[in-house]
Amino acid sequence: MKKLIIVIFSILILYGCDYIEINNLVIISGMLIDYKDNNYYITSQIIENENETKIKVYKTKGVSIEECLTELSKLSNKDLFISHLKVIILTESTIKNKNDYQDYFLRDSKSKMNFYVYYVDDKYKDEVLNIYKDNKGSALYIKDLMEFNNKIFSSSTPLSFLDLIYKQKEYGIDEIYPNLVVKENNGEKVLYLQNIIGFNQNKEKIILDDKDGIFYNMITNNIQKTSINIPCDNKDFTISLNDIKTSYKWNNNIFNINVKTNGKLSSYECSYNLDSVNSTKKISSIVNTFIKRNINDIVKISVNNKIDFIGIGNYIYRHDTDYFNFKNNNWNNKLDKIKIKVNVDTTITSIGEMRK
Amino acid sequence: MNIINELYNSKEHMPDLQIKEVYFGMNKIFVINIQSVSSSEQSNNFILNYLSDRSLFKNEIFSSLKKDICNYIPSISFIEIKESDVFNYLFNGFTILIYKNEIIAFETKALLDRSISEPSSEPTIKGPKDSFNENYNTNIGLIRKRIKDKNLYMNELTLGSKTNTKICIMYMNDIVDKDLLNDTINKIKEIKTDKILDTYYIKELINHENKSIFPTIKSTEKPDTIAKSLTEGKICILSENSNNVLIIPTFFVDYFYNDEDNYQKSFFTYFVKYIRILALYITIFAPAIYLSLTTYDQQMLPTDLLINFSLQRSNVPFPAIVELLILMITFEILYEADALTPTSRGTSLSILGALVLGDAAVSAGIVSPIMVIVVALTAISSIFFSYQDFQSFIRLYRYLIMILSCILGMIGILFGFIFLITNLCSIKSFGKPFLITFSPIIHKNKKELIKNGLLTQNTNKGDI
Repeated sequence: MKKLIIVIFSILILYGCDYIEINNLVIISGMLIDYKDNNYYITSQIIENENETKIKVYKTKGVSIEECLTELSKLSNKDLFISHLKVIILTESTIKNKNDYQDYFLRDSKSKMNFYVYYVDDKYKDEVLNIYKDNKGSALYIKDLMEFNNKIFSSSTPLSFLDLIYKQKEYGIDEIYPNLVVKENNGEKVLYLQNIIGFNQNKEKIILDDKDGIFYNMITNNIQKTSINIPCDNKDFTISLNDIKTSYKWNNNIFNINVKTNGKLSSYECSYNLDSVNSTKKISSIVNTFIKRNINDIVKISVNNKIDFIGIGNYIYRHDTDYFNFKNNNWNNKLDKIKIKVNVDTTITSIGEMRK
Repeated sequence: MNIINELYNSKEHMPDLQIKEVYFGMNKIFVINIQSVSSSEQSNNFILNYLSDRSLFKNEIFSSLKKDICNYIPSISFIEIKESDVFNYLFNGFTILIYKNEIIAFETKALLDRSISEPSSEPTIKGPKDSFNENYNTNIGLIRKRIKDKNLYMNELTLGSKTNTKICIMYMNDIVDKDLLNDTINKIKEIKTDKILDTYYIKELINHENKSIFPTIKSTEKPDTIAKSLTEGKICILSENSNNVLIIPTFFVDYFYNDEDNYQKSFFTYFVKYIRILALYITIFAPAIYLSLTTYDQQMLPTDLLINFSLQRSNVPFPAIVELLILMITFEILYEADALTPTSRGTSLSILGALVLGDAAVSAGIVSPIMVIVVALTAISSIFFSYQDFQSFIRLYRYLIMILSCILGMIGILFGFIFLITNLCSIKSFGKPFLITFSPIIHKNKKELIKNGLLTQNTNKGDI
């Protein structure tokens, strides 16, 4: 009996920790973090549920993220709920200043850290969270946008918060951000994923366009399939690539990037007769050459701009720690001294229907 | 004889006691019965007719009434009894004949019981639809006709100083666990009470070792269930004037077993058993999980669902726990009222319940629609377990885990779950672990497991 009383008493003391009613919460779905003059400017998109779902956007200012969010809580008159944060959008100044904005999200116990990070240009930063207020809000739309793009087009690459932390803390790899733009189509403003943006150690902006994005995703194993248009003679053909597997090898100071994939012809306008085996081999060779050239272009961008977004340094660090002193020296300066060899092997598995 | 004077004295406060004197010359035979429990028709047709024939045509002095009855009264069971047993036999519907020093009791019981009908608390779709009634011999007969084996043993006892109720302990002698049997018989013999009106009285009195609320003795109205239990080495206890028969021992897995399972394909039986286990989880944990997800662990909900729940609860003035308690208590009241309501009024009660718990409460903004769904799901899942005692355990744990979830969220539910499992593991049903086949696992031939479902009883030598 005594034990039971002690147990019940202990339980009652614990009562109320973290208790909060669901309708006393305001759900933050998206956040834009800007940094200027030693102040954070945070634009937050929140979902309020009183009789109907309302999307609201608030702008707050403070010396820290905590201060900005406290101000937001006062404006909305409810407790903030950060566990359902879907997107964080960073501006150029936030990234360039290398502030420790991540610290707040890493410390907060309610933060699930399963949101994605995007980049937005200054000219769009005021609009990005204000579009789609009638539906579930821009933040949820952006999440769907990325999922769709990754599945169908593969030109953009998602950057999760934890990936960002990894790339920032790890040696030999730099982060690049998917870029959000606002486009106008038929008088209507639409959110759009375009290009991939990175910043090198000199704070210079590096842009990978959509085409480069596909090949970047290919060599970093971010996609399993994609579709590319390849010119041949004066026409071109489209090939769907499946089971894309990229492997790296560091051997005798040569960094090998090996890409292996299967291809299926989805449209064909070239002059080669597909009946013969030689033609299929030629097509395969054209594909290999094209992919290799494009991958080499990306490698060149990485090397010339001294930004290792492929992760060559990270691979070498993990497999040959003695090769370079990553801790005390800047790897990006060494990048141009590495020999990088690209091998592509495409197997054409299907040439599709042949029409006479 | 003193008994005759005693009987005449009793007439004052027993108006249904009939004492008739039949003369044979100088000899007198007393015919005594209690009108309310004995059949006048049988008494008239067999006994009085015989006596009047004898007095009219023969009028001779017979040396032994018993010998004479053997020669002249066909097919009626009778027994010679002592003076001290007279009242007992009278109360049991017997007609007593007293001649000189001989006291003969004839069985002329009136039919005060209802006929064999369908079971009221255990509905069946397939399988036999007969059930026990309040007649002791009928009940035994229903079991006997299913088990035609000389190893079906019966141990008869009388309990209750005022009621003198006959109790029968039934078992299969070749397969029952003898230790269990002796233990059960000793426990029943130790019962000192003035009344046994139903088998539930016995259940409460012999189940000392089980201090928890989990029922370790099951009762049933169905003879086929009893027959199956007996062939599995279990012991069954019948009582006079009771249509429920007890099964000893009962384990946790037995509550997931239904007689309908015997009459369906094993694949479907397996599927339904898993549905029952799922229903048990839902009925105990669903309200607590909902409470915890809306008050402590909102991060576990997907965003769309969170927005939906938040919208639904926006107009509700009460905290989630109060809202849940309102609905649960209303449901409990309806549940109990339904059990006591005559069938004729049941429809109006159902409509009232649907209106109160459904539309009206939501429209008035007292509760949210999602809460009504949770409570309804909980209630529907509990219907799977129609056995009253098992329902009590479910209800208690449901409320306990709700309170824990209100205090500690998911951690509280986990505590509750651990407490429940620990409690279950610690219970013994007549010396055997209550969670048998789960803990300890009985390694049986796979074929037998599939054939018998989860419950495994060794029908070879009562080794549970």
